[in-house]
Amino acid sequence: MSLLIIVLIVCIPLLFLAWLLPEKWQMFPIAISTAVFLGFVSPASLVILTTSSLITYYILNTHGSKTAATMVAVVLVSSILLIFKLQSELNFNITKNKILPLGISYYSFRQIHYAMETYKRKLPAHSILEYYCYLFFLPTILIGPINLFQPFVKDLRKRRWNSVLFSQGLERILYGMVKINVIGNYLLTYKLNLFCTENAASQVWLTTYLQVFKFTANAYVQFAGYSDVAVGLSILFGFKIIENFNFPFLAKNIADFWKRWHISLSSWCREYVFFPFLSITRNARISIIISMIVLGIWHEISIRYLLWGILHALAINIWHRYESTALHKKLSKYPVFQNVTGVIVTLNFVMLSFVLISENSLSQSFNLLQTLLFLKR
Amino acid sequence: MTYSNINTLFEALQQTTIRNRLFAHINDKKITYGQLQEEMEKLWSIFQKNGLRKGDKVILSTNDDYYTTLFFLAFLRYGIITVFIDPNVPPKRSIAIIEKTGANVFVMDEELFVTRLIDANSTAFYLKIQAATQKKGKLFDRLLKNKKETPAADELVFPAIMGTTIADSHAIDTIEDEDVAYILFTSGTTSDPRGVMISHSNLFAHLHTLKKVYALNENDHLLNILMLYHADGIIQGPLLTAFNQATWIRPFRFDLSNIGDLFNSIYKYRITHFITVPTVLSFMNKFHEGYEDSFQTENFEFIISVASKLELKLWQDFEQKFQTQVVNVYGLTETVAGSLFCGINALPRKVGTVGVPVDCEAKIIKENGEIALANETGVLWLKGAHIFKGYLDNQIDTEAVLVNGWLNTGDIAIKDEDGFFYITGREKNTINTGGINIYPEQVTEMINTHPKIAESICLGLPDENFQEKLVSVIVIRPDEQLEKNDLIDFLRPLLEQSQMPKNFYFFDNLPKGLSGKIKVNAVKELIESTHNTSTQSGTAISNMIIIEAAAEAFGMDKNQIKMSDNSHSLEGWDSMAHLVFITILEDRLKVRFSTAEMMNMNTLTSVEQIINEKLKAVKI
Repeated sequence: MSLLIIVLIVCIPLLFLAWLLPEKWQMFPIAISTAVFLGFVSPASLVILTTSSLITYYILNTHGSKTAATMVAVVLVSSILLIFKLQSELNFNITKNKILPLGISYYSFRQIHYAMETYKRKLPAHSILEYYCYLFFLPTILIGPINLFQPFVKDLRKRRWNSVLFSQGLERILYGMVKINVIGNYLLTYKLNLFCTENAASQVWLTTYLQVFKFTANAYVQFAGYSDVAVGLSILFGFKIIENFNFPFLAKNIADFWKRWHISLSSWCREYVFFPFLSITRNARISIIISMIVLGIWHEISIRYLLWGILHALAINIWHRYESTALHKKLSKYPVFQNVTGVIVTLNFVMLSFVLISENSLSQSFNLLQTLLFLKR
Repeated sequence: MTYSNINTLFEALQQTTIRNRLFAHINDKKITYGQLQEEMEKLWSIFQKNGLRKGDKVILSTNDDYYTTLFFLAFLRYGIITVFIDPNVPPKRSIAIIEKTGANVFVMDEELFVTRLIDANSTAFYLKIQAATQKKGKLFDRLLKNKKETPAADELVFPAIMGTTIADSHAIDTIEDEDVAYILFTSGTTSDPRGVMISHSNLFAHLHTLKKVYALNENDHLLNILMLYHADGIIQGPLLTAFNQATWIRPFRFDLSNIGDLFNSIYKYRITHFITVPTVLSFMNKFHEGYEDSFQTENFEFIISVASKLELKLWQDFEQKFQTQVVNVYGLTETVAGSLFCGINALPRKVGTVGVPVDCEAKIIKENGEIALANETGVLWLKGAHIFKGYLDNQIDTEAVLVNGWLNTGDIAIKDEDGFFYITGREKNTINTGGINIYPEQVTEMINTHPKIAESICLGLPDENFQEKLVSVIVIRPDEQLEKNDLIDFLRPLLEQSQMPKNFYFFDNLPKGLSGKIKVNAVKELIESTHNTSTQSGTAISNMIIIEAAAEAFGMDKNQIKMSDNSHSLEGWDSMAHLVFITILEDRLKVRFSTAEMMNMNTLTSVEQIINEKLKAVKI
């Protein structure tokens, strides 16, 4: 049974408790169930999350110097994440099967967000229980989004039963499941794959292109589907969490794409990587490259994700440079043409960039790219 | 359904369909109309048993919001006159009020009997209200078999006495329209306080008006966290709620630390109307980050701003930022609560005015006694069924303000050609700070009792958050020295918290006219000169710079950008443009932003805040 189904099943009794218990007790079953769930499926994750959050909360809320406390918390959480990410690439083992502790990429970034917001003095007064409710929130533990602390606490304090919202939540879960199973698993993975296999010999370029499209589209619908389920479940519990996707394939340029694709991660990188580096270097281009590298290796510490991040950074920089050219200004007089061209170019760039991460090795990726770019038959 | 008086109102509230409806949510306590009725009937039983009759005056003074409400409604119902004395009023003034009313019946917090020197045994009737104690867990209660603490049989201690009382709804006197409903002391001097008497007909006439203009019904949830010892708290809170069989929400008392909870309350409690004062709106406007959508709920209708002048800028900023409607109400304690209304859908609307009179007449009388034409200045007079009966035992003052049914408000106003009224000043010497009227003479009188002070005057100066602030200007006796902190310690038992001057200025002498009277305007100039307040209009300047820089950086027209915009609402505000924006600001303002500051600059208002702090630091 997939973890998503387990989460959905666990949520059914939790929903009753989350709405029927006296108000002050409503959140505890969710946090406790999340801990139990983690304990069963990934004990390492439970230990890491419990201890790291306790330490960082203590440091951030008791240390006199917020700057020093933030640095310690960020270094600590990043180091843990880095070590676990590196074990799958380098020759050492922490966990038996080199599998990342469940949800570590998401909750580590949530903890860093919490630390950085403490540094910015942007957090409302809150208790450790509220912090734990935020970190041990079942709907977002599996696959994000990297939801923010302030809106979570706001919802925690103002949540109430709302039948309209509840039905919206159910609807979102349904949409998510349709995206994952009907569009992702059936149409893209099964049907399109079948078409590509049948025509692979006669239509090499077309089927290669469709395979690349399939990977990109499937990545989107699967991830967006999981995000829909997370958003829907959160709504059922009375929380509105950040949307992770906003029709990314309609992006008019690559900068626009990153405002629509994996929004919680791109916003995180903008807030906690781009801005700090920008303030230090005063160089937006370098700050973009660093941000996109972090965004890339967040997925996996590997050469392919590094290259993927750099490629997107270069594309964003090129786009910004192009924006100030006379050609762009001239084309702005024809918005329909510019927008349509922009959407096509951006989508194809994104698809091509995904070739870098869709294949098992870089040489396979380059082979595929050669075919797509008519460099090889 | 509307009710012409208290008799018909409470008869209607006895219907079984209403009894289960929630009347109030106060702090963590929920009270249904049924519970309210039952507790009122128990009180009636206690009143009867102790000889309390229609027309008796009772001093009501407790810190408990529910008990204040319960007793007030019960007194109204049974024709007993409530004399409100804020429990925080210093002993000297409260004793003067008690003496003035001649009341010999007291319902007060237990400790107030001591500070106000009331000997319970010499009163006609008293109820001592005990503060609620922390409840023990029921489990431990059972295990330990704790017996309830019962007061001595002859002690009238509330709420313990309710446990042994049986509800009674018989032999209730019929309340007449001209019976006095309550007395609120708002002005006069400490030694000669002035009590505003409101009759039942005044009250119900105005409740009808409020119901009509706010279009209230039984499904409404009114959020009102104003002080209950002021008309806008008690009348536009529990009473207006009961009149509409609606629900009153008062989850906490306001302070700055729970401003987030105030925003959250709108959704959490399904608020339809939020009754508040401009000072609270000003703080909400300032600490808005992340709460901009708070009023976008399926239930919310509008905000009702009462008690003090709603500045045009705050009004416009607030409506724009929160995308909601603010209604401005002008009224006095002498008019129950309101008189003129502006901003309600059914009425003509002109932001920046106090609107138009509803269910009453309004006229402006010039200095020469003639009625002012459009755009001419004069004193505002009001006439209507809601105008008070008069001041308690004070014929002279009553006749001074009530002439042929017309009330002299003491406020300077103009009416424009469209019939909208503007309040431009004040004839009477009052200061409105955060919605609370302060009478400077009361404070001056107390300050002058200090043996080291030769003379003093209290006056109001403009204040960004509280609209006005009270300051005191003092001349110390020759060869004497007086520290500010010593003076504050001296004044603390004599003044209410809101009466304590925010600043003290010490001078060798004060400018006086030929008659020897202190010249208020000259004193204000004196303060100005010591201040060296060369603040110009700093906010306006920085706003202009910010919008210009944003327009340049984000490639937009200045007119398209509002101070309420943020990095999500402005399409051109991307990572590259952010650097350009910051660089422009740094160049123009000759400052350099730190990492933390740059990270916080994601809304134009946060940019404004950071710039203001930065510039302030540079000046220092």
